[in-house]
Amino acid sequence: MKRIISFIFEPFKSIGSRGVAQFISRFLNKNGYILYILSFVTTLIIILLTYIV
Amino acid sequence: MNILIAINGYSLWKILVDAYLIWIIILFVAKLVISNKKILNLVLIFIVLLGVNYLAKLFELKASTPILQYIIEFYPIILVIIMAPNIRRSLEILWKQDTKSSSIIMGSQSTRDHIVEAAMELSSQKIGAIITIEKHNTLDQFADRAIMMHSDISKEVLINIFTPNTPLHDGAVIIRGDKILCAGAYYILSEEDVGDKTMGSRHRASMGISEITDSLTVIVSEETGKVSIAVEGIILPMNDRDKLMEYISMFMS
Repeated sequence: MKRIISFIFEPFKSIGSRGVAQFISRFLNKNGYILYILSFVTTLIIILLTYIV
Repeated sequence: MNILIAINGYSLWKILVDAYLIWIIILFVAKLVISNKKILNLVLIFIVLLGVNYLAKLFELKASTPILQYIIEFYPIILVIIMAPNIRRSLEILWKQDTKSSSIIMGSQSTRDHIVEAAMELSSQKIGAIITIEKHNTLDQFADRAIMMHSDISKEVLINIFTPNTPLHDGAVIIRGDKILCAGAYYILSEEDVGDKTMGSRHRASMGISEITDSLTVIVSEETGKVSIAVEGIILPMNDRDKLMEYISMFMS
């Protein structure tokens, strides 16, 4: 309940303190290849949106 | 049909070059962002703001939409200005972190014995120490600014280095193979909360180096004399000699 209320009143602080950034940073530092795959997928999406849509 | 004409009248080679340039830019920015948790936090908030802005436009919220547009327009500039020191540090880490030496040789049993004996002796006298054992990720960027030694390892040399009020006692010792590479090396402090209030800047520095490299750091606390190790961003207490030897042997094998 406290988490829900704190998210309603201070959503940015709630996002910042949840440890999401820490988790993402650790995960991607350990599995570096996923970063390459994600960037490649993002590039594909940008190219598709630019040249096709 | 001309093989070079691919999509909507654009040449295939142009699309490929365009894709390659975008890919390397995205990769560089992504690596820069994930190397610093504060910057990553702000980027995540920015992504949430983009989502909120999209929803505000979708539901035609007339008051919120222009304000959110304004914030989104200036957010990247404000982020760069506020986080300039962190961005600078991330760039330093980014350009140095990928240097891996596949030919590194880990130290012998004699080296492990000397490290453990030195740590135990320093612990008994409550003399603070940081001893970092290099593995694949090179620590040259820290050694370059330290006092180079290239000396053989012995328990006596390690104890002498960390003896208070001596020129080399401040900073960390870096061990490469069976040699003491340097003394007086300084690391970037970790931003993580170490939890235990008896752990000070020595522990924070050791955590910092363990977060950005695959090294192992032996820490002796000046306040309590306790021995711990920092590896992969976590600190583990080493209550006795055998446990410390076990961890160091596993790491160096």
